[in-house]
Amino acid sequence: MGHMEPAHTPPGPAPATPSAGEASAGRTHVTVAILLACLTIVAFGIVWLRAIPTGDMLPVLLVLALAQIVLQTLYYMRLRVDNRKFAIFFGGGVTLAVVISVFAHLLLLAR
Amino acid sequence: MIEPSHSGEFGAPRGTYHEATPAENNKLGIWLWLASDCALFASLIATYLSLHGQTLAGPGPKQLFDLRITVTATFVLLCSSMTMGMGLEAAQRCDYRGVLRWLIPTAVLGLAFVGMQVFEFTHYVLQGLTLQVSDFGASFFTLVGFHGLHVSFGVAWITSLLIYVFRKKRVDQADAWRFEAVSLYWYFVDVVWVVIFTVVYLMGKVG
Repeated sequence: MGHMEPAHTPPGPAPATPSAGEASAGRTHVTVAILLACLTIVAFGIVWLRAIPTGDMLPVLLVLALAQIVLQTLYYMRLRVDNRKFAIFFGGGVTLAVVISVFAHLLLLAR
Repeated sequence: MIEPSHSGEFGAPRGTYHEATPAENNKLGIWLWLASDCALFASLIATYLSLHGQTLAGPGPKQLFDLRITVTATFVLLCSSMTMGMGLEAAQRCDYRGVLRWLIPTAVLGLAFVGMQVFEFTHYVLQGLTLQVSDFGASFFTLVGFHGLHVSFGVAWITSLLIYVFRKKRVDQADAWRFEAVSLYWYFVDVVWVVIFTVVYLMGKVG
């Protein structure tokens, strides 16, 4: 009975056949796309059918949009698994964007 | 760029120095660019939110927006994000045919989105909304048009990458960061569209 040899990966380009992990990554893309489509349909349906009172509609739409943004940044843009430095930089940009939005909005309203 | 790795990032052990590769530095550059682009879109969205009520003699968002076109455009962009993800996976396993199979539809879907936006703009102009007619018109065309320009730039970027790999007839591991950069940009454009779709179209229709 021979002993177990450590697996050596030969140099050169990676194989073009998808492994189980890659197939699972493909499934993740499809699942996220379906979830995003469902959230879009719900948001559109709420507005189109006037399903809830106008006053309650805006916070619901904002929550649905936030859910879509979180899904896209975590799973498509891979902030969930990527270097935390990127998340900090992007989070900083988004925070700056929100601050700019609020200040610009207040400034223009004050005119 | 040499930096201390405190948390074992990029596979370096704790307390050692890790020399970031050009690909990692490029990725950091893309993230910084996207963060700055966030601020740019934030200014445009804030301007729109402040001015969208000032329609003067022109039509307002409630009577103008046709959500059916916008929802279709949103689905087209969502589909393009999925195909982009598949294309990136193919690029990371050096699958030349896979890259072509997924990135060509991504570029086509991006073009379709831009086409729908042109159709929508033409429809609005015929209804009497132009850049000059009201503050609402100016802020709407600037914000949505600016996003459309981003999508057009993304399509041009994807096309240039496709031409690059088509001429090489293969995809190497060294090319993976190029696809990662374009995919990050494409997803960002999609995220911005989610905000525009909600703030401009859905909330505009609600009033």
